[in-house]
Amino acid sequence: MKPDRAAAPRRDEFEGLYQQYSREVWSVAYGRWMDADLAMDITQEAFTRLWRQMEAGEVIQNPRAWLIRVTRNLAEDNAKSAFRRNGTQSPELMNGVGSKEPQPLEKLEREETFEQIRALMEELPAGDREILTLRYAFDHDAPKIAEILNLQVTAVHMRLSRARKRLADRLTALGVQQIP
Amino acid sequence: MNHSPRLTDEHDDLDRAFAAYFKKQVPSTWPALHYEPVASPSTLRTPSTQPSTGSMRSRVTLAASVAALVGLGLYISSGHRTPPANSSPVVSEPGLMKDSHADGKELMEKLPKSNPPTAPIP
Repeated sequence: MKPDRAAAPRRDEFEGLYQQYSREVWSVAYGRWMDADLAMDITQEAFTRLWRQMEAGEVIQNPRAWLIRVTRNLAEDNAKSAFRRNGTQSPELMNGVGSKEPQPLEKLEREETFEQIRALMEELPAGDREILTLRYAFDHDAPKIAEILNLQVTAVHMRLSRARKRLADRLTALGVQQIP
Repeated sequence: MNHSPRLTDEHDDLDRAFAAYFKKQVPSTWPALHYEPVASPSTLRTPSTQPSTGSMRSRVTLAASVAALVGLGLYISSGHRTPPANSSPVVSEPGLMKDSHADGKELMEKLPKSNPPTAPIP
């Protein structure tokens, strides 16, 4: 039996898009929810929807922009449904609570600092969190972040600088002198 | 006097802290994409109007099967019987028609009246 030649290039193309854009999509989802697992679920859902669109024969001119937009919508939808499930308690408050592994003091201090960073991050606008995630999780520079999020490079520089200063000031106010 | 905190002075330290935090959030092994490469019938809509080779073959097979069934049905319902190739015609004896309920007069008239039963040769 002959293989289906028509479907093979599209699968390759789609999996190539996943390799190329999935980390960016994850960053946007993470910037919205501050939850790595949920961000991955949203990423998978966004790419599943892209696959369905491609299957339906729709031509998507800019897959990256399409994925970013769908990811933001999915994160927003999830926020609404999560509110219905949890009321005002956001699920990310419970992140890391269930760890049973005994941790040394230094690691505990580090985790505590990370929790403070997380809490402060939640005070930032979601757009700034997207920028921070792309910058620090994947080491993208400002021009690359501007390209991904369709922003001006100067805007990225400004928002990055503002977010860093705000976080630094708040960490200092909390008594964090240095990162363990 | 308030001591100038290290975090606001040393960007490297702050960057290092943020990088450590964010990189910890990223999955250590990036998961593969979970999707269905073969679309379900409800979602698969091929833009091409040309049927595939496999689809065409299935259709031809189905059409041939239907045609064979219809032909067989017609053959059976027509009651057509082909005589055996080398069989001699059967000469029916008049007695066979005695109890016949057929009322076709034309058919009865066509019966071989000119050939009366021959007397057995002594």
